[in-house]
Parts: sequence; C-alpha cells; structure tokens
Amino acid sequence: MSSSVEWGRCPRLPHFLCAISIIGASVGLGDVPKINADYTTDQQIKLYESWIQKDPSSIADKILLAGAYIQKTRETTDFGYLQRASKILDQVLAVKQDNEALHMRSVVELTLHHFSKAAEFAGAMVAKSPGDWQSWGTLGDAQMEMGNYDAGRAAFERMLALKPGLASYNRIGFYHFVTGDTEAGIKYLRDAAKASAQFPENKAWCLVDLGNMYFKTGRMDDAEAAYREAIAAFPASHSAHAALGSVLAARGKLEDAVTSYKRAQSITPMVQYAGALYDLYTALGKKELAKEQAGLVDIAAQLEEAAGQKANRTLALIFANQDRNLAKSLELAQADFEIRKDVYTHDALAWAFFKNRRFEEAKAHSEEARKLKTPEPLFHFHAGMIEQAVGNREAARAELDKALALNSNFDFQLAAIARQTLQGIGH
Amino acid sequence: MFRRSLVVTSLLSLSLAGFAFAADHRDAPGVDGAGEGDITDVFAFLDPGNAGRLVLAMGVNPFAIPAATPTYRFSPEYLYQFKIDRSGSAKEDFVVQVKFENTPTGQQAYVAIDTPDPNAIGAVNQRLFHPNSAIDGPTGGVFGDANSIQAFTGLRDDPFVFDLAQFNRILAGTQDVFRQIPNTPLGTLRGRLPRADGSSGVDAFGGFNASYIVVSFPVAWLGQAKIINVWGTVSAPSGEDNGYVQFERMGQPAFNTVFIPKALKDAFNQGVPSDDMARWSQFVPDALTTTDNDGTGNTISGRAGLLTTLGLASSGVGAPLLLPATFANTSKDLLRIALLPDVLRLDVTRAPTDLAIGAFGVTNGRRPADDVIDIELRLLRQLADVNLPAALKVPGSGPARPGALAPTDQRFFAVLQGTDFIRADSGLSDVTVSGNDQTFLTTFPFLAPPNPLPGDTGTTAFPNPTATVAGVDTGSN
Repeated sequence: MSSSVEWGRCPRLPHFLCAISIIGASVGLGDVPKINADYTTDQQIKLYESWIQKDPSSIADKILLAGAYIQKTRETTDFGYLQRASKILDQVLAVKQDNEALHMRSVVELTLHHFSKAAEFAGAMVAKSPGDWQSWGTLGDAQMEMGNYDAGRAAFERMLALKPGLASYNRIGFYHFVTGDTEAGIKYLRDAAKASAQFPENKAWCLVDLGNMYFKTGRMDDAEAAYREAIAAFPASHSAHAALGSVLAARGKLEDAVTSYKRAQSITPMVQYAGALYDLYTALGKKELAKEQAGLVDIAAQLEEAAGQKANRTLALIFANQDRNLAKSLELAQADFEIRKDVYTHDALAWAFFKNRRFEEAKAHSEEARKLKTPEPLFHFHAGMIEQAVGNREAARAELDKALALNSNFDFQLAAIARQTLQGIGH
Repeated sequence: MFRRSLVVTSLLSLSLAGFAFAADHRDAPGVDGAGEGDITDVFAFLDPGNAGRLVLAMGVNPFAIPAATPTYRFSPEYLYQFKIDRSGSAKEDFVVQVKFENTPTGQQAYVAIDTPDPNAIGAVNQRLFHPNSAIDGPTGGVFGDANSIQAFTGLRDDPFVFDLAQFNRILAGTQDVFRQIPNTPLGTLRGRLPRADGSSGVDAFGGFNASYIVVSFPVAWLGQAKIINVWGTVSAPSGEDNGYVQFERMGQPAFNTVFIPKALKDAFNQGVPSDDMARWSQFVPDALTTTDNDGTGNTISGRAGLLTTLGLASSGVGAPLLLPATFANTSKDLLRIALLPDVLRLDVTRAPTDLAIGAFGVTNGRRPADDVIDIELRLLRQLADVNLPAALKVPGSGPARPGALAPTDQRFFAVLQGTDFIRADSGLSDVTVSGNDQTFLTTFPFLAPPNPLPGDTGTTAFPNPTATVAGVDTGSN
C-alpha cells in the first residue's frame, strides 16, 4: 500500500490540467472568499452575468441568474428584479421548455399575483412530471388564491404524499385552517416547524404561521410563545416581530407593541407595519408619529400606483381601517378581486364596500368570506358591522359574538369597537 | 390577516443558510430538500481482488437513520450517473446510467453502460438508447455477472468518517481546533480533549446509513485509457423527451463543502468539470512554493518549520507532516491544479491499493477506507497560503497577498492539526485507514452492511448508552 507523496513531480500532471491552470491564472484571482462569508446576491448576479456574457447560450446560467433576481426581490421587495427574472425566463422558454425554467416561471407568476398563469405553468409541469412535488405546491397555492379550494387541497395532498416535509405540511395546514379545521391546521404547522428545525428562516416563518393560528383562536400565550421562539430562531424575522407586536397590543402593552413593530419595520418596511404603527401611535396620542406612519402608507400606495400595481387588498384594508382614501380602498380591493377570489379577498372587498357605505355588496362578499367557516375573528367582526349597518341586529350580534369568542382581544382597537357595538345593539 | 401560505417556500429555499456539511452530505440548499438526489460521496477504485475490474460507488440519502430504514429509496424520477472522461478533456465520453422504478415490494434498478451521444454530454443528458451493456435487478442485493456488469443498490453503512460537529464549531468560531492545544502564541486553542484510547474526535457519520449505487465492470471496456476522470451526477427530468438536467454532482471529497461559498453551492452542483477551472479557481487559495512570497520566509519549508515548532507535526496535538519540508513545488496554482476540475482521477494501471498521493491529483481514485479527510487537511495545512496576523512574526505574516486565505478564515484552524483525531494518535501516520465504525467488505460491493436497527443485538440502549442490548431478536434482518 502506498501513501507516498509524489506532488514534487508536477510536470506529470495531465496536459489538460496544465492548460486549464493557465486559464485559471488568466481569470484574475482576487481575494479567496471565506467559507462562511456571505456571497451576496449582488455578487451572485455579477458572477452569473459574467458567465452569460461568455456563453450567452447557456440556459443553466440564465436560470441561475433568474433565481438570483428572485432572491433579490425577496431581499428588497423591489419587483423590478422580478421583472428581470421574468424576462430571462421568457428568453429561456422561447428556446426550450426547460422544467426548471417552467417551475421558476410559475413561482414568478405566483409572486406577481398572476394566479391563473401560475396555475397554468404549474399544471403543465405536473402533467409532464407527476412526481414534481414543488410544482404541485405552486399549483395548490395558485388554486387557493383563486378560491378553488378543492383543487388546492387535491394539489397539496399530492405534494404531501410525494414529499412530506416543511413545505407540504405548511400548505396542507393552511388549507385546513382556512376550511375551518383549526386543530388540523395547528397540527400540521407544528409538524412544519419541527421539519424546518435546521433552517432558521423557515422555522421562524412556520412558527409565525402557527402563532397566527393560535392568536386567531384565542390562545394568546401559545401565540406569544411561538412568536418569541421564531425570533429566537431567526432574529431577523420581521413577521415574527410584527406578530409579537400584535399580541402585545392585544394585551394592552402598546408601548412594547410599538417597539416590536418598529423592529419589524426596520428589517423590512412592509406597508402593514406602518398601518399598525399608525393605529398604535394614534391610540397612544402620539399624533405626529402617527402622521409619519400614515405618510409611509401613502408613499407605498404611490409607489404601487407608479409601478402599475392596481390591486392590493392589504392597502385596501389599511385605508378602510383608517377611514381615509376610502374610494381608493375600494378600488384596490376590487382590482385584487379581479385576480383572486379567495375568502381573504372577499373579506377585504366586503370591508371596503362597507366603508364606502355600499352595504348590500359588502354583505354579499362578507357571506362569501365566511362560507368555509374560517376561524378568522376579523371576518366575523366585519360581518357583524355590516349586518348592523343593514339593520340585522340579531345577525350582527351573532357575528360580533363569534369574533370575540374566537379571541376576545383579536385586535386592540377593533375588539373594543365590537364590544361597544354589541352594547349598542343590546347584548 | 393570514398571509398566503408559503408561496415563497421555494424562494426561501434559495436563500437557506445551512451549515457546511462534508464530504458532500447536504452540501447545498437545492439538494437539502431532496435527499434522494443529494450525493454523499463518490468512490472510484480497482477491485483489490481483481485489478481488471473498475468499481464505482455513489451514495445519496445522507444521514439515513437505521430506525427508518424502509423510508429510504432512490428517486424514480432522477437519473443517476457515473461519468468517465478518458481523454483528459473533463468531458464525459463513457457513462454508467442508473434509473429506478418502484415495484410492489421495493424498487428495481436499471443499469446501463455505454458511450454517450456526443450531443448529449455536459449538464443536459439523454438516457442511453440501446446501451451496449445493461442489467437490472431489485434493490437491496447484488445482481449481474461478476465477469461483466455487477451492481448493488440499497442501504449501506455511510463510509464517510469525519468529526463534522467539531468542524462546524471551528467554522462558527465557537471552537478553534479539533483537539485542544494549550499555551500557543495565540493562547489556548479550544478543542476536544483526548480520550484514554488516544483519540478525541467523534465520527458524525457513525451509525448512519446512506443509499448506495455500486457498479463494477471490466476495466478493458474503457479502452486504452490510463488515467480516467470520474464524477457522479444526479439529474432531474428536463421537460424534453427522455432528457435530464443535472442538479447535483461530486468528484473529490468535500471540495464543494470546503471551497464553494454557500450561496453558490447549487450553481456549482449544476456545473460541469470542464468549466471548473475558469469558474471556481478563484475560491481556492494560492499554494506555497519554494519561493518566499512575503519576505517572512513564507515557503513550504517555512510552513513545515512553523508546524513543527508549534508541535503540530507530532502526535499529541497534531499529525505527521505528509509532505517533506523540501517539497519542490514552484507553482502557486498547485492546489487549483490538484483540486480542479472536481473529479476523481484514477490511474487504472496502478495497483488497486496505491493511493499515489500527489502523483496526478490529490489521490489515485478513492477507496472506501481512504482517510481522505486527514489527507486533505494535511495537504492544505502545508500548502495553502494564509495571511497570518503580522503580530505573530512568523512565515506568512507579511504583507497581504490576494490569493491567500484571510487571517480570520477559520478554515486555517480546521486544517492546522492535519487530522480530526477520529483515530488514535498511534495510527495517524497511516492514511489508508479512516477509522470507519463498520468493517468494510473485502469483496463486492465492498461497503459495509447498513447499521442495525435500534434494539438489535449489538446496539446501545438509548437513553443509557452504556447498556448494550443483547439477544433481542426483532426480526429486522
């Protein structure tokens, strides 16, 4: 057995190695990256672009670049990067119906809220490759957004059968929650959180979703624990900080809630965090700070408009809750309803109609929002207020009771309004 | 309002920051969710009992748990391939393709060997059409002909040996070295403490299985080739009829793990060896040479002297030097040349047991028992250029050199001792033995049988690790 060292005889290296070493030397070696160093998304984009420049026909490299642009979108919430990814994928798919490109295309379409297109691409993928669990997930996501819940469930179940794990548990759990089976939803989200133990960001994501289920069904301590566990797992989880803020606000700890929401906002300035901070500062009597947050909401709305985004149910709900820009609120919700008809969009549209005093339309959409018996206190709160407006006192009472029964502090402001309204009705 | 459920899960997966795993186990985000396509290790060696036969082995399903044995399978969607380059082009001109189909009782493996269509080489491939040689058989056993193609598919004990946990601690900076070193110029370097048996490492892969494909066939089928390049790939359907696109590959142990930044690991796995030097050489440090490159005596000889002075070349806190201090390298690209392209290089004319370290790559092929980790650690500690802190006033502490590892790069500490001390100090000079927890077979398929189910005879009784279960026949075998 020989373990002798023969590296001193380097000239014996195969000829091609010597040739390649010259190529390597010619590429201009910079500092050697550290193994733990973050190779940033910008660096990845630059690297992949350089590869494509050398070989413009490389489909694999274009897909890598599209993936980096999608990642950049996640990091910046700048949808311009998503458009670049989309353009590259168009180029690839014009040449070849590559599965990875098709899969990425479906994810891009989903992220752009082009749900029918996303379903079309993902449907084509699973038709070709029935074992493609990721595409079953994307197909299910798109179907759920479009309100096709049976189709969504079927896709998620296929995904679960093919690949039990974080992504499938989370999705099937969401399906169960939306369709009224809270315990099944919680069970699957717990499984998802366990399955994501190695991946802090994913773990935090699942724990926030789990916490939300607890919160909406009144298990405040469990919700807070889940949110805090999410923050411990991944301190940069903006959604976990915001969710913790919602629990703290519901517990009456408004200053602490502000701190949590501000932390979330400092990580990623989501418009809903500005909306929540507006509400909190208003309640604390800090009018100037509230005004600043309202200004941020308005800037977000202007940016959306400038980008040609007409649909945004989140913004619609914020304006409706703040009793301002109500016509815009309805416009945003209606535009969202054009592209997705899930229970959440029905509810947002119902609330926007209500605030615009179009009560019958509000009632119709609110009924649609509640058809799956989703344990969402807000659905019932909105329904109660709408029923009260149209003079259905008993229905109003029943819905407001349901909202408070799910969580007596489902929102630090709206729960109080629910109680006041019930008093007015004569509980 | 409840946000849309994980629309971005797949996007999230693009950014997951996993710890580094070795040899190639769970090496990239893209394969973390697809264990059936996550290559653990690749081996290429001549049958020690018959040097006229080439043996290739590739593992997937890292960290397969014995208790969950029935859950581990190969993917019927994927195309598993051993690629062989006989011309030195780093492009395959001979392939072994393996596909699986589910059956009512398990899986059936289909093995095909032939030269590929020259229009379907690289990262996008086609299944062989009317292959020159083909066999099929059920997973879990050996099938085929010992004089022609012979194959095994199924679970085996994971043959890789490495103190991965301590390695990850070193990379994370919570520990400094594999075994504690007191009283160095940098203070006490934190590490594991030695045991009474002279070892201190913990094999993170001990007790785990992996799903292996092992194929053997006559070397003569390769034609006149002397040195062949071998690598393993896993590909998924590309969307075109009979077409597959590669998403995972491996050649040398731990190259992707050690040298490729985590954000680029999937890109590396999707690449081809013929692009490796141009694309990835920037991630490999310069090699030391016989010429002082920073005015501090930073040569191979200087590094050997430093390691010796610090006691790292002796048992106790280190391992013997692998290269002589007089090693006559003159190329700063030596590590790049040895490590790239990422393939196993096997001289089919050498004896099966000849490791030929440094003859034409890192080692001559790879056998299951080779202590590849110690070999790589020792070569890197002697050859990798490092910008050591100026305050140390030792070879390498001169002005910054762009091709050198940064002074804060934890990889330097990981290689410093030249071993992970899995084995007792007394045996560290022999790098042909890795210290695997199971005994390798001396005949095909060479890899050790899978670890027994918990509770089977010989296993430990959790939670009391000192109690050995005896005489419990669970019928699991």
